[in-house]
Amino acid sequence: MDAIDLRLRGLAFVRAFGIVLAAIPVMLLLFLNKDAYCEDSAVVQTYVHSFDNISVYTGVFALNKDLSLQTSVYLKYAVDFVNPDIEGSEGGEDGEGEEGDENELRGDDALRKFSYVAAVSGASGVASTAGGGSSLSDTRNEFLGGITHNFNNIIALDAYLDYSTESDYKSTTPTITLKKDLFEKNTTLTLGYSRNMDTVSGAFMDRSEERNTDNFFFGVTQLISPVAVMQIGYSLNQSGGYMPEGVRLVPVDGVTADTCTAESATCVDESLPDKRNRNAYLVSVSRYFIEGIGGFLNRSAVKLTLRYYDDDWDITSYMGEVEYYKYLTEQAVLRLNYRYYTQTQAFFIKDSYGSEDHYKSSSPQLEEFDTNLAGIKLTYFLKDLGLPPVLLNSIEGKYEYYTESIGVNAHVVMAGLRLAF
Amino acid sequence: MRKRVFILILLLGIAAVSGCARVKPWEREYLADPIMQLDYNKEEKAVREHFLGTREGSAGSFGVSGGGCGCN
Repeated sequence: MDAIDLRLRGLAFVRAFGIVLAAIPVMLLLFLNKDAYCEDSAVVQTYVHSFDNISVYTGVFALNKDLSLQTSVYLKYAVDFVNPDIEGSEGGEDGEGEEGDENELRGDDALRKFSYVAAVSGASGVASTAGGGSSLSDTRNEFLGGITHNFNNIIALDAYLDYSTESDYKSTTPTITLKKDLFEKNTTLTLGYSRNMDTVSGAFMDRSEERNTDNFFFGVTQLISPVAVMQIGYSLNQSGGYMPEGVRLVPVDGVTADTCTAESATCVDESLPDKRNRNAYLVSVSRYFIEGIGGFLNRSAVKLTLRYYDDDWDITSYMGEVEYYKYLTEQAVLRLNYRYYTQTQAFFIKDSYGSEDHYKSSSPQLEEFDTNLAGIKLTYFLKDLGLPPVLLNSIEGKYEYYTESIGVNAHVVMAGLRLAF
Repeated sequence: MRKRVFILILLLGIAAVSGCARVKPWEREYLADPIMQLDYNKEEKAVREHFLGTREGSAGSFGVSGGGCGCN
């Protein structure tokens, strides 16, 4: 990594962090008033997802404001900057860098980085097929706004609208969730529905295409004892429309991937089924420990999560995760986490395709593979500094290492702070 | 087969908790601790789900989803 790479990475990080910091005073001016409740808060976070030769810099700003004891509003803005790290691959946000041909990747580099970019953030790199190269910088913006209202402690309603946009992808998602407490709030039932209305316009597509997904969710949260709580969930997702991402080509009839940089008779668009039904089942248990194992469990909590998933593309997956929380001091909380994930491949995945194959894919997400994720996080809760009306409530930082059995590794770094007012 | 085993575990879990004693409001000190909150840091959770959702071929059951990602 040379000085230019470091400078570009630094600029992207500063840009992500600066945007969310700049939003703080504006939002506080809008939301601060003498009727502020104790739950009012703002969150600022920055993330770096760093792969072998590409990084995604993310900034998040969120604000929660209680309008009354029954009603609160929530606003969030998130931005992803996708930043290729290979020298000469740095383009503008719209993929049209000022350095012309120097921005173009070729052969394996281009294909591999398409895989990274599309998979890291959803921000699919802008490809310029002219000249057979690709420029992969992109920016994804997400806006979310919602309201929560509790109807006389009988039932709670959440209504959210999420909009995200990037160079080749737009998504609008309204969500509605109902929550009902039962048995002296020992049991909470959750029923949710959302609809993703997406427009895909990938670099290898002639025109924009639509994809819609209906998401249904049902969950039960149950108190088991004064120190344990359990959650069970089921979700059904039904998608229809254009399913590929429009940013990948599939080599056919013996052509190798490294020569497949532009659409041709032997480098064709992905072709996937136009419907997909997905089921996911989740069980999670959290247990608080007052003391135990020679102090190791003193003031700690352990959370176990299992998820089973299947769909009608024949992908089956299992996910298991364990999180360990521990108060190191009165104000510092440590989190250690490990997650294992494994999946089978889609029924149409093959090592090589012929022109006669109806379905063709070069998406690594549809292959068989395992992933591991391990991390450490430290949160420091600050005492009341007596500086109303805004109080710095906590600061936090984490590091995670992510690896896939198909040869992809990533470092994830996060820093954040929470303000209360 | 594995799916049936998983669903069986799920049903056993439901059966197990359905008979548990009720926890009174004044017994919830530890349940109210921030480290026991299932959704304490939903911003971090959303970024993480988005990242993993775009890397992996499956998703769901962590609540209703939003903010499409152009991923499989």
